[in-house]
Amino acid sequence: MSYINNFIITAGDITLFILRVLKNFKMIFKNYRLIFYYMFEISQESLMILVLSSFFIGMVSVYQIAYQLRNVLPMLYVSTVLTQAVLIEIGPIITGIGFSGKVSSQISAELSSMKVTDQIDALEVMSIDPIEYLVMPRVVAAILIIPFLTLITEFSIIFGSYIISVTALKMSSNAFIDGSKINFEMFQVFNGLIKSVMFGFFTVVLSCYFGITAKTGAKAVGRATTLSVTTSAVAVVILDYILTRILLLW
Amino acid sequence: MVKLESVTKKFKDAGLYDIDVIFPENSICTIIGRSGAGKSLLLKTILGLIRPDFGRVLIDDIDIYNVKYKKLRDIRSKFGVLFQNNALLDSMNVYENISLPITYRNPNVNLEIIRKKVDDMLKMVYLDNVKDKYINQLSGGMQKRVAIARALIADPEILFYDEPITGLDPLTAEGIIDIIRNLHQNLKKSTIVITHDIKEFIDFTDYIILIEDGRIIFVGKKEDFMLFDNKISKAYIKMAGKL
Repeated sequence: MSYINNFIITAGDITLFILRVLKNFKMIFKNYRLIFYYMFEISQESLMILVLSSFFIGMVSVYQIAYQLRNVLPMLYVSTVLTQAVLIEIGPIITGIGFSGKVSSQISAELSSMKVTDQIDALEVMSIDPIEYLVMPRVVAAILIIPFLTLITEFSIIFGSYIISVTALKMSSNAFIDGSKINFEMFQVFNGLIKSVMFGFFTVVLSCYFGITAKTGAKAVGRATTLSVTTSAVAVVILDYILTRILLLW
Repeated sequence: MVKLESVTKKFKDAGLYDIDVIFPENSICTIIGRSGAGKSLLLKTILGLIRPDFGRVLIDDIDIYNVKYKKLRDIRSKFGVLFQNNALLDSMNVYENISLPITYRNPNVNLEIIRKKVDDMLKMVYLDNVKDKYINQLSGGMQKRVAIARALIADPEILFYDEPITGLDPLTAEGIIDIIRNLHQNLKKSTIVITHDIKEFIDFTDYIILIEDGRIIFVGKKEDFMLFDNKISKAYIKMAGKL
């Protein structure tokens, strides 16, 4: 019973936290320097991991798809299936999960150690709202940068699969490109990007929440970081389902 | 003026119980008590960081827990606080740390004025040539001085020092005490010092508050404290070398 109570209280707290973050969006222009700084920091932290992992995911995926479609469909459709899946689903979710692993852990570790060492209290006492100064710029930076990271991730996956298709699967370059164009619609790209923006928002908001509400002591930093990574990863998957339903209806 | 009325806050293993106290203006008030007695909790309650379960915290007759966040921020601009572990932002250098309370609130402020003000603050705490250094490049005593400079820059009305000499070697601690004493003599601001080491502050404090298990057991002038007949107060007087 206390588990359910705690869940409801935390969910309420997070909702109020999100409202406070959204309320502070009006301070975007005052904090533009911080936003650019965090955009640079986030992309620097996550870009290499996303590119590398998605390149290999692309290579593996194309092998699997080719294997599953053998004797069923012409090889041309391997790139069709792959491109559709990447743009709608795999690209945004890989970026979201990558974000929750790398960016979210970094943010919650940083904020929770600030909390433990009274730096957040010091900001409050200096009449600086920690939500405005520490949270909102990170959230806005994530929202602005994640579509680009998603596009780069998608490109890396497709590029990885292209390399394998033309080298190992002996597919012609033109066949791969032509196959990718089948059933391609621009709104698929936008749907994926809308998803990624929501993943970025919730991942960073959750990591900031767990960081800023950390208790005292070194253990609290570890707990906040673990909670933030696991919760945001689960949130990405749940959100993915909800958004997929909504976007397909739309 | 800082006034607490029946402030009560209960935690699992600590708390404040029925705290009634007025901190007189322009004087130094030292809050003493053992570790875990509730001193830092009392400070955080006064600063508007921990809402009491019961009672009121009044700053210039305004209940800080009964105002909107914007108003609370205005009230807090009257505070200058030295936290126990300095609470300097380690992602910033000394100049950015000290100037932050002003530059963030007034982004259009003239940078030359800020530079001059930061220099003045650093002189006041006897620091030189550290403006561009990062916090982790400074010693504990230097960090303490930077934190005092940051507390002073926005010209606060009330200064709070939370365990200002804890963890410092005797020489460095003496330097910090000198700074606190000189600042009070020159600026005449209301000053609240929280410490478990009364020895270093007894000579220049005006008022003493003794806390034990979250309850105030003495509040009054230093002279009255010396005459207060209580086992704990006697131990503190002895520690201060006045018995």
